[in-house]
Amino acid sequence: MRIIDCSACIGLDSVNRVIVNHENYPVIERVRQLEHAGDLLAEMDFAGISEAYVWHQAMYDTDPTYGNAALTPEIAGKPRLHATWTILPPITEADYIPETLLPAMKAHGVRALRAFPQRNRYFLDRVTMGELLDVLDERHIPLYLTPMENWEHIFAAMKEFPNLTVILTNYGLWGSDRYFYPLIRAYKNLYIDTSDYQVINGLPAFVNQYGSERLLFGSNMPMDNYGGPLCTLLGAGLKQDDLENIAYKNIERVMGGAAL
Amino acid sequence: MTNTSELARAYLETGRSQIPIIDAHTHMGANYGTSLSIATADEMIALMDRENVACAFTSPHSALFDPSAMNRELEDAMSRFPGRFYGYFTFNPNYADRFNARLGDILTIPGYLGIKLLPGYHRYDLDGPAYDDVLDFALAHELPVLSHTWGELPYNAPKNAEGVLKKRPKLRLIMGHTSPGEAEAAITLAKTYPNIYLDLCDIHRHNGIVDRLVNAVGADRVLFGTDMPWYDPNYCLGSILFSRISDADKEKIIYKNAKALLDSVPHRRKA
Repeated sequence: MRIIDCSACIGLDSVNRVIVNHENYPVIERVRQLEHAGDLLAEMDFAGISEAYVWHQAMYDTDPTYGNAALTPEIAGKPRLHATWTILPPITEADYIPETLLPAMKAHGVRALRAFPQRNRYFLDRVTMGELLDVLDERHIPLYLTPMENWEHIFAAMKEFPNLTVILTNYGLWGSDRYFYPLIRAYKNLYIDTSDYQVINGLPAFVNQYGSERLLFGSNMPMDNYGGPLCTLLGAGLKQDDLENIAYKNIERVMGGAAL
Repeated sequence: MTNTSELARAYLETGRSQIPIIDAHTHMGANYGTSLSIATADEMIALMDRENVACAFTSPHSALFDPSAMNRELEDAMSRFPGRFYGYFTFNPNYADRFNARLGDILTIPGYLGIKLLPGYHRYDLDGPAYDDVLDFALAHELPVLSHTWGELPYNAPKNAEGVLKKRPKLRLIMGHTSPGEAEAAITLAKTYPNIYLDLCDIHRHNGIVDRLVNAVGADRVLFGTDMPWYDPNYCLGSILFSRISDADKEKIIYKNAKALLDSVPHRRKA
């Protein structure tokens, strides 16, 4: 069975490494990082992972535009790796005006974006980001969001942009179903990266209630390893159709729906 | 896949561990911080059967957070499921007299294995005086002590563990979670004190951590742990199966080390 990782990170964290225990609870611990794309490919080969959607740590640590540029040469000529970029407010950074950003994404094969509003000090709301998020909504371009600092901005953004395609990632290991379930019930285009979905019986309980179409296999590499999420998925006792949805079909559908 | 582990390959084919698991760090019951679809002793046993978990060393949330409940839920579970649940007697230092009065239960009630301390949550230093009696009792009876440890936080950082070990260098101390944020300090302590065990609970998920601990202290003192029913044992198992250590070392961590620990406790040998 093919397995596609919906979210892995290359590049060195300036402190190796800020790890999310749960919202507002970072732990800094040394992990085996993946400085270059080749390091990630080696990890993927070790675990039998087919493809991965990738971001660069410099997008977070240094600057989104700097990190986006750092990612491009890393994954050039590596068809198993797919780029995701990080956005900033178009009102202050012209690279992110939709008329500029979308052609650049198309030219570089970028089908999904990320936002770190707290880190970059802006609000992910209509006042600040409406002109860009409306376009992402219309074109079904996925936006990765993390509640590593808090969940309130995610709930607030979804209220303003209820049809936005969102992938929740890097939420820490504490069980988050009290956040996931309301979001999944309310917003039909919201998906969950399974990288840290290690709550007991988590995947079977979710699939039983909401089906398997909203879960995307992910690793959150290198904060998490491949073995944990892989064995959690394959040992969950799910039907083959559900396994395949989570392992690769859902991410292919979500990314395939992005109209650039 | 370039992982040559036969244990990993067998898991991928069957979705189940081919060797039994002993989970050395578990709890039981509902908890304030998360929604758990499996939490009771009966539910845990059903999941353990599915995932080939032979037995669990446990301390229920009721014992950790409700001083009135003491360890009754644990004793009931050990009575109902002998050989499947082994108990850590939870000791709350804020009610030291109450818990000290029951330490003898560890030696007389079947199923008790050792002692559980939760200094960070009880907001009391691991090396503070209220723990003296219970730690001396553990030392005298060679009982393993599982203490929550966490790096760069008060109450249960490695420096607090070191304070305990300087007074009792032969204490059998399981460093719960291996002090995330200060794992290197936990490793250093384990190199200094031969009766320290490093617990994989929570910390196993990080890329390369299992290899790092085994390479530093050897596989004999690393224990499988999950916080079940917080987390699914399959995740910790996967972290081990896809580490870069030998299958022989994986088997030690998954089963043999905890079995040896269980079998070595003197009062259990006499039972």
